[in-house]
Amino acid sequence: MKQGSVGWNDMPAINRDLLAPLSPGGRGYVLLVVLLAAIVSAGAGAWIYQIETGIGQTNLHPPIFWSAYIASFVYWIGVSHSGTFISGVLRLSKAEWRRPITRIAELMTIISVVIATLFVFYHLGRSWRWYYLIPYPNQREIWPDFRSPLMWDATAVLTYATASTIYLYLPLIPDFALARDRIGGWRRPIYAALSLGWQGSQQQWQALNTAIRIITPLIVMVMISVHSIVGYDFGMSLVPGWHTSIIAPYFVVGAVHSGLGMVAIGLYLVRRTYRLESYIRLEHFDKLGKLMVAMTLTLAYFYFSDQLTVWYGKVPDHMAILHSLMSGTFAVPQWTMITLIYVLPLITLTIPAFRHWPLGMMVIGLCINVGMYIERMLILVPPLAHPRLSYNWSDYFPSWVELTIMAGSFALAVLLYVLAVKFVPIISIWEEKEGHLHGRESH
Amino acid sequence: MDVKRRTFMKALGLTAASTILPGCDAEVRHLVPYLLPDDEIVPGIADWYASTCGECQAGCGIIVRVMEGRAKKIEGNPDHPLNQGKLCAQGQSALQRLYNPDRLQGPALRTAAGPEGTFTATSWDDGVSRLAEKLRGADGRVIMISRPLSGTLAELLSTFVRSVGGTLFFYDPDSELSLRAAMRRGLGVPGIPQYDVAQATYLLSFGAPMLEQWLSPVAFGIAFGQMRQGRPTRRGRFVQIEPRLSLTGANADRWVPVRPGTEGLLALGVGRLLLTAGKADLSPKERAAFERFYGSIPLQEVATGTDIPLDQIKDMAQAFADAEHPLAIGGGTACAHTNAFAAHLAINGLNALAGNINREGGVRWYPDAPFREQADVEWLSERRIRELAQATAADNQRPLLLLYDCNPLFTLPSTIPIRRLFTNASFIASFSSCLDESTAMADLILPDHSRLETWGDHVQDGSSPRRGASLIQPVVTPLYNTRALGETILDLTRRLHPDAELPRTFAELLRKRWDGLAASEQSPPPTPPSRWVQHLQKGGWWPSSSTAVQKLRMALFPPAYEPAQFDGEASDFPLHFYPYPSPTLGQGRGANLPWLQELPDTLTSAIWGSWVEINPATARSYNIRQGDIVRVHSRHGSIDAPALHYPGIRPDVIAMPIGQGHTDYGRYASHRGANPLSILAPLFDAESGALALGATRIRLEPLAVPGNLVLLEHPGTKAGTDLLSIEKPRRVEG
Amino acid sequence: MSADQEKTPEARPHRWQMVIDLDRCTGCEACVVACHAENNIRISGAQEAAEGRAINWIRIERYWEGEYPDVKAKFMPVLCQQCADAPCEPVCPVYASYHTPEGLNAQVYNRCIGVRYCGNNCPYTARQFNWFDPHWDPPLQEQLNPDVTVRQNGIMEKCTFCVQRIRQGKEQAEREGRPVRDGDITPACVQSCPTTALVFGDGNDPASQVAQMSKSRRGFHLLESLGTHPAITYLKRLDE
Ligand code: SF4
Ligand code: SF4
Ligand code: SF4
Ligand code: SF4
Ligand code: SF4
Repeated sequence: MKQGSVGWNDMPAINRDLLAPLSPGGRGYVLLVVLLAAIVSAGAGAWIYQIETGIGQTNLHPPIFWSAYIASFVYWIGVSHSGTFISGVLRLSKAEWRRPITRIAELMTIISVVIATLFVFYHLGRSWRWYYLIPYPNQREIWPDFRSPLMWDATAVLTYATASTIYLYLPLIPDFALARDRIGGWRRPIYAALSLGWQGSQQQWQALNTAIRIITPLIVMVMISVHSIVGYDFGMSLVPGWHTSIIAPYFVVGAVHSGLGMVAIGLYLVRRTYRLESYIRLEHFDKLGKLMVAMTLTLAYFYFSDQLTVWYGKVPDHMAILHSLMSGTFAVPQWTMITLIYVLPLITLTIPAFRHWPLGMMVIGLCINVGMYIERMLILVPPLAHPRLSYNWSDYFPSWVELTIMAGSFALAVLLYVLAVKFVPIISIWEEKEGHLHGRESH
Repeated sequence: MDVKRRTFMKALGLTAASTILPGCDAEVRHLVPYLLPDDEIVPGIADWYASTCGECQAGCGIIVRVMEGRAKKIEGNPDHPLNQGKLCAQGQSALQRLYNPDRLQGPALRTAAGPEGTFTATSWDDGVSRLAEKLRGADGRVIMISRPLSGTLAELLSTFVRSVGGTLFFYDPDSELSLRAAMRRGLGVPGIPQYDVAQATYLLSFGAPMLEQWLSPVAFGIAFGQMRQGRPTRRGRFVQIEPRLSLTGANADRWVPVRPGTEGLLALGVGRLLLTAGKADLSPKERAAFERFYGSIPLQEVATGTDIPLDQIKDMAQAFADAEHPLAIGGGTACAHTNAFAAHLAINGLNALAGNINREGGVRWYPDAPFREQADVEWLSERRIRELAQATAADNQRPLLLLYDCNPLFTLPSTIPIRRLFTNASFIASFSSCLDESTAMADLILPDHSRLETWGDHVQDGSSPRRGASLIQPVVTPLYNTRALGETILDLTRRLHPDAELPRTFAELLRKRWDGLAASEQSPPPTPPSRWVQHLQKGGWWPSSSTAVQKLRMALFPPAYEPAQFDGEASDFPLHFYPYPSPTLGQGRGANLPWLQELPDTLTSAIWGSWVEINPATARSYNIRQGDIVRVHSRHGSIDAPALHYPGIRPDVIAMPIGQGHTDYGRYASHRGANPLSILAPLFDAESGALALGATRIRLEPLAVPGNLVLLEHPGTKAGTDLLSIEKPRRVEG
Repeated sequence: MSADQEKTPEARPHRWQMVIDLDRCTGCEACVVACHAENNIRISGAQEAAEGRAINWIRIERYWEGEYPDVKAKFMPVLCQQCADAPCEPVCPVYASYHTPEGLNAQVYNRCIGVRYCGNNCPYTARQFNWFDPHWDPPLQEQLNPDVTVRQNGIMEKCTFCVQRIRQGKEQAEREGRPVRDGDITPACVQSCPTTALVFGDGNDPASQVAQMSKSRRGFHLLESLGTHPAITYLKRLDE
């Protein structure tokens, strides 16, 4: 079996192991891609139908003007925090165990920002007029209104998408160069172009490290700002239940919570699929588990503070929402959500043995993500469903069009990931090597 | 449109008058009569034409905004004394009667073998000649049932029906016949007098739905606003007595949930107390009659019978006696029992006891207007319809039935064999302008124009201080191949009586009558525009000053008060049933207008359907959830409708709006909801024969399947809202 | 405000206001039909209504108080309050919800892209959305008012204080070379209201009926504590 100019078997084990995922997939892989593509097409069909006939294909109605699409937007922006947090914060804190998981997480970031952006378009009543949101010079001198948190949001998401693309790309350069040298065929010129003539010279390494050092703190700040601003979309409004000062930090922590859960799922799947047990070790799951406990507790603390303040204050407008959550219309999703994102993670992840059980970690990651999706819906819908003039109270459940578009988008995320894995080394090879070096030095 | 209308006008010989129009005085500048020639119609500029609303019997004045030959909006005629520029929801929705997609578009014949409601188009000549043929052969067995009409058309119709040896009847399910009977026998007036709500200071209403579907809702609305806040220092108080809180009741200061059928009993109790405290100056003979009538039942019995504490009755009587302008009125479903006539006597007698008849803030009647000389047409009571139907069945007559703008097959319970009258008929011709349950059974349809395409007039009775008459004028050219009823009648007359001397058109007949009026007016005719044009511009004629009141005196006489009868044993049918005319759809007439279907019922917020109102406590005891279907059984049938928890109703009463449940009334009305009238018992007010709407007892069967209850308000909304704290008056600076 | 009042009547901008007397309003809903007729409000139909999407620019909210037999129903007509500090305005990213110099909250249909943020942020739930294209069964479309746009799928709408009538009134006054007189301009709902529960006029004209009435001791603003400064003053309903 010949791969590129260097024989596969001639490669060091680490290169062989970590480049293996880039080789063409088998039947299972193709089947998976076909299946995902089918779901994506269903979602696309639903969207076209919605544009054709009207946004009324959702179950939205006054006073619930936002729901599943915006909740999904918030959720996916949240997932995008996985990459930045894991790789940025851990890189900043020089946590050694981060090395095999940064790339997995960074890829998630890019893909989920793309998916999140799609939801903005699903949501617009006249998506064909989306460009009104762009400040372009025009005859009538009408500009977008930057007083609107939605404009802050658009700016922040755009910045975040750009920044995290660069952030993913920089550490990829040496690995692309490796791939260029090791993998032939049609991908070779692409890798060649993407590796920007990387030769691994001292000067190049210095430049790369400096760039990464500069962008890492920046991207962490952008990450915190972006979800804060998504939170401000709600916090800046007058809607009871949205209008709270804790919403920005709460959104950020919630985002990291779901992001970590997603990383746990990704780690498990990549490790199992590509037999990377020696790179993604139990130690990594353990560290991730501890981080998740910390996030669960922080999130629970914020949530508790918020709800306690509402409950103690007894302002009727706010109490109506709390009641509907605790014992009313939304009690079932509410308690499911609490179980999934607080109770289950805490009772499992605090047990050290559990953290060393990859499958269990994956399941908890799944619980957290399902729970956080529900949580995003619950942030949106119950407050909107209880406007101040109670004559207009209402409730909501997504329509089949909304559900199909959501499923299609989810499938698109997975599909992009599955395709990306065939193109991008899923573990940062040079960083892993660097880690081995550090490891040897420190032992 | 142009040619047709211009030739039409020429035929009337009226085009000359129209050219004079542009120089009118400022007050009516924006009102143009229909006679404006086409070349003066400016595209993009709206013209307003005055006319008269025909959606209920009140006859409010309207002005219609017309642009480029299309009617755009109907508003109240500010010059009209009745509605003073205001207009109710129904009146405004009449636009959708003109543009209704389900209007009949021309004469039609029943397809030979087809079922009800399948017709083929025919020509006017064919249709009219067929009907003339049938009338010739009917040998006088002709029955015509029409909605109540007044003015020129009423006269023409009654003359015509008499000329073919038949009988003309007016029928309106909302006509308050028991109240009319009480007024005729008690006060000696031929109609319902003016209740001066505007000036009243204490209004005691026994279920009169004056703000919804009663007599003249817009006029009562204006008066109500006046009573509440129109007088700087005085706010009239208002008590509503009825088993189900109506929209009118919701506007009262106090709601008194009386036991069904005991409204008259309560009035007796109040009257008995007033006899000692009242201010009426009664002759000893009258006093004796009043004492006999009101004293017949001990107060304690009144309290237990009506289910109202004695103290509360005393308070009411005291307040009534103390008020400067007390006023008692009664009507609606609350007075629709077998003892309705006696109840109305007892209620209206309170006004006599308080001495407020012929007074401001009381009950008044005005002498007849010049137009009143009018054919005396019998108003059909439901009992009379049953007699008619039974009689035709008994002697196997096959009458020829003529129908105009009424729908007895929908508005009468199936226990009244109206359908038999229809199936027995040798031939049925309908002049209605859209298909409904009754017209669907016709053999021939000669559809009338819409009200906005036709000529006519409407005469006010003595209930208004400015009695007069308003004109109906076409504001658009007819959309379809329809024909004004007046024209059809003239055509028929011409064919049946070739020698008769007839005006060439109905409009000419109308104008002749109005020229007569002009001649009778005191002032000399003005220089152009002519009186006729002025009347058209203004929308009619009404003397500007109030006319003298015709003195009335209340007479009381046996029969003494009797308890109401109910159909169904209390053991089998434990609940009372209260079908009430929907504030939006009336007795079903409004159901084919989408604006009205979509107009939320204010108290329930329900739209596009029907529902059964249940007290929440009763619903709990039957385990009926809001929105679930319940089956309502009477001895005469059952209907299904979704349940609605309604806090404002006695626990022993179930209420349901009338208006839905059509089978054949256009796309907006058909197969929507249920018709509560269909399960009513044939019980009538003893005196007037009016159907006792509230006399049927029922049983509930919860079906526990969700029904189609569409509410604007979300079901389950609690009363708890901080709106109430907000309603506290704002701090006033200084 | 006080600075405005010192200006001459011609120079002072109008401030259109409404007074709603809850002691007069009977819940008859003549105003609701008037608004539908005047403003080409779509016929939503039973299906859309069941989905909670029936459009009304003015609605009569009814609140129950107490329990049988001491139960009361109170009504309140609710329409866009034309807030002076309208929460629906700053949140719109494209200036489709816009404040006019005369203090009206205008909705620029062409500009709106259907973000619906404004709908969330209106505390009065006054904003209504077009979830589908409107439809009139022919020939019902003949009733449409040519002075008012028909709103298409995907955009927000709400009460405009019948801006077309305001404009017409002002143009008429200008043609006649005089200031707008109190009572010249009546929105459709105000025009129809049988009980005169609704009164409209220029709040900056101290002699106008609306300016006089809004000083009533019964006056309050809906959700006043939110500081939206509505142009509508409600007058409290009195009870026994
Ligand atoms: S009360 Fe309403 S329906 Fe009756 S005539 Fe007046 S406007 Fe027409
Ligand atoms: S028209 Fe007037 S009285 Fe009727 S509901 Fe509207 S505001 Fe109230
Ligand atoms: S009532 Fe609502 S829509 Fe109207 S101006 Fe105020 S916030 Fe905006
Ligand atoms: S729905 Fe229209 S008006 Fe409202 S925020 Fe979005 S773009 Fe602005
Ligand atoms: S002011 Fe005009 S737009 Fe606003 S509710 Fe009244 S009629 Fe409708």
